[in-house]
Amino acid sequence: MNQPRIVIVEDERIIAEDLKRSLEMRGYRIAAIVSSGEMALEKVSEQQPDAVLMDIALSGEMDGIQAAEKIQELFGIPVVYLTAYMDEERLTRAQRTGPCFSCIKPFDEGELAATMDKVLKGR
Amino acid sequence: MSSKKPTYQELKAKLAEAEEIIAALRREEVDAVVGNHHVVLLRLKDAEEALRESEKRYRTILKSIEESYYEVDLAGNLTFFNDSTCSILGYGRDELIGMNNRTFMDRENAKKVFQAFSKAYGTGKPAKGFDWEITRKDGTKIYVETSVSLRKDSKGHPIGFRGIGKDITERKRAEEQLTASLKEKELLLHEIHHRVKNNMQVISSLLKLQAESIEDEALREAFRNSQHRIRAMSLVHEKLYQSKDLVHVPFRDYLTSLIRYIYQSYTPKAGTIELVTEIEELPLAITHAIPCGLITNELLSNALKHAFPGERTGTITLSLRSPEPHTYELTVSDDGIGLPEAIDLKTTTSLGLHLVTILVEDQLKGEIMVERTGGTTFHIVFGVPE
Repeated sequence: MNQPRIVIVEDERIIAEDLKRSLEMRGYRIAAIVSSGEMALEKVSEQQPDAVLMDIALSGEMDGIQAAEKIQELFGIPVVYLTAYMDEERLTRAQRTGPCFSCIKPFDEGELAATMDKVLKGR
Repeated sequence: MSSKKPTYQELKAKLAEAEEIIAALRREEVDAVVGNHHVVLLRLKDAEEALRESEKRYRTILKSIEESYYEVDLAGNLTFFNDSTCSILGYGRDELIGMNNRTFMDRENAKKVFQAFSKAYGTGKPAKGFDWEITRKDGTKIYVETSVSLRKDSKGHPIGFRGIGKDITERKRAEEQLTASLKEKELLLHEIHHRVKNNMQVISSLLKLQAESIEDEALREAFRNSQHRIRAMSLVHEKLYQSKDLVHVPFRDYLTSLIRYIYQSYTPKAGTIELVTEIEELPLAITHAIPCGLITNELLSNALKHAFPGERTGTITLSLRSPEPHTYELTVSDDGIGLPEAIDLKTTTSLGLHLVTILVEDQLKGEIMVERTGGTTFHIVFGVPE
């Protein structure tokens, strides 16, 4: 079976590296690491990954929820939000973008892998 | 003794005298009446003078005060006002007379004015302390603090309202600036807690990445312990920036997240170690929350690592309560194999337990007690400021 391919969108490069290694250890392949919503759209279009791991607070004009909305609309690729907390306002906005999966930062490897498995199983 | 009969001449003289007396008496009466009228007139004159003085005085007061004095009819049309009313509103006297209050305020403020007038009308009692935003003739907005009283005619029928208005724009602007500045500082503090938490997370990731290249298990463990300590600290900042109160950490929420994180990191085999928590909802300032979080991290990690070797199963109980005002008690206990008798908290070489001791005694200014029966129980009691 092919390794599922993930695009990581995280503006803290070291945290992105930590995520990359954790996912690779669990059998995922990282198609790209980008730091903004705009770059995420570009890479997702180019790489057509199986899922996107998206930080909500990003550098650039778009935040993670706006980027996820575009990704769902243009490519129908599932997005897992990575966030320190999900308040009411964020949750409502995130739920509007489609099925809402999230992992709390700092992430727990087991929880992250379980969420990813759940998302990819649905595809 | 016989009396002599008066002569005609004598009688005539007596009559003339009597007439004179009567005339004099009449003159006196008239004088008295005239005198009374004079007194009344004088009094009336005095009263008139006093009235003129009083009117002059109140006109001087109305003219000299900075506050606006206004009178309106029941529909809110201005019927009388002082010069300050003109200068506050920026209209000339001729323009202002008969003008309705709705002319110089928006709909929302007009509604507030209506409510204030209605209240004064309904209760008959004066009302004060209203802040109305007013639009001056030149379009500038000002704030006026106003009072409203009901005006009645001589028969007691309501005929309108009167009140005093004070331009409080400067004070209002200062208040707005203060509120904005406070909000800005709160946002800044939120952002700082967010940045601190993020930076700590980066440090934690760096340690984790570094540990991956280490083969020595003891060294890897040391890196992992450091990661957990950083996490215990960063979680305090995380909870603070998520909460509205930037001073007190919601400690039950904090401890619950911390315990979940530590428990997951050690991933005990399913069903081997049960975790029981009894945490009261107590607020804790950051100065106490960080040491408390670090202590919990050490004691819980120790119990998870050492209390249940091999296939041994058991329970870890963690509680936080306030037995008396301004005193908290944190208890971490397990029913595992027990802390070896050889370990003395004062002399231990274990960094974890040494940290617990110095944090309790030196930072929290509290006390630590250890029970070694039926497992291990750490009681930590410390005071919190009012």
